[in-house]
Amino acid sequence: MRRCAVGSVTLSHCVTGVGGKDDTDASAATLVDGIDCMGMHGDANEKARLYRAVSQDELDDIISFGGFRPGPGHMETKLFTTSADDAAYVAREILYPLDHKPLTIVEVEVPHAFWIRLFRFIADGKPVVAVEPNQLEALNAKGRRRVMDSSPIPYGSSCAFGDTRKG
Amino acid sequence: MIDVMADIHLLYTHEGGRKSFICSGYRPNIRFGDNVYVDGAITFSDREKVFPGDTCQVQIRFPKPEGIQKYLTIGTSFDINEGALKVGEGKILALP
Repeated sequence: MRRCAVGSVTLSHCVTGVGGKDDTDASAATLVDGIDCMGMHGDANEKARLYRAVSQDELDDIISFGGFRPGPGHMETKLFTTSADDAAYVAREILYPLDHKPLTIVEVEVPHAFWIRLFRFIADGKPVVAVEPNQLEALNAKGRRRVMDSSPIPYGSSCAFGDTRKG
Repeated sequence: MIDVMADIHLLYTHEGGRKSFICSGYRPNIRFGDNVYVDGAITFSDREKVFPGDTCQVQIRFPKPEGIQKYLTIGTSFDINEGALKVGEGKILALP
């Protein structure tokens, strides 16, 4: 069973896909910056996965620039979720209602050594990872990006086709 | 979803604030109390850009206000964050 410590609460089956790893040693879990998940304690070759829901404009910029960079007038820090599920939740429940523009989820695989330097916190009830402006260059250099061609339906969300995972 | 009117002040860059202006639609982390973070979309209609060091009146739209109801009162102060970085602060002026 995968477990994730969020603050002082331990949740089971949360942030599925964090790090894309299957570590099962519960005793290894520690708390870093308030949030840490099992599987984030490995050696230098281990990877973690971050997810970000982006607009078409940002996606175009990521492709043309070759990475993430602040857009004029937007956040200088880039925020990521730690699972595709949470990215889909953010897209559907937070971003889309604001401007009704379509979003795409981008996955970034980063080295464990980079991951542990990132600020992690809870926003809108979901684990979030912040990549600060001075860390973006390293993210772009070390991270391996993949545009997801589908996205999960966030648990508990409603959509036109219904959520088959309810009940 | 809920909209509030607020006064905000962006920190100067040398105070740890942003390096550049923000545009209407800017969506930072709004931090209430000790460590309650929510997304908030900041819009303003009297100008195109707000620069570090500026103070202005804005509307903030909270897409998921469920976890911050107790903070949504006139006079409540908050920080404007980008992750761990505090880039500004504000105070709620009016509620719907």
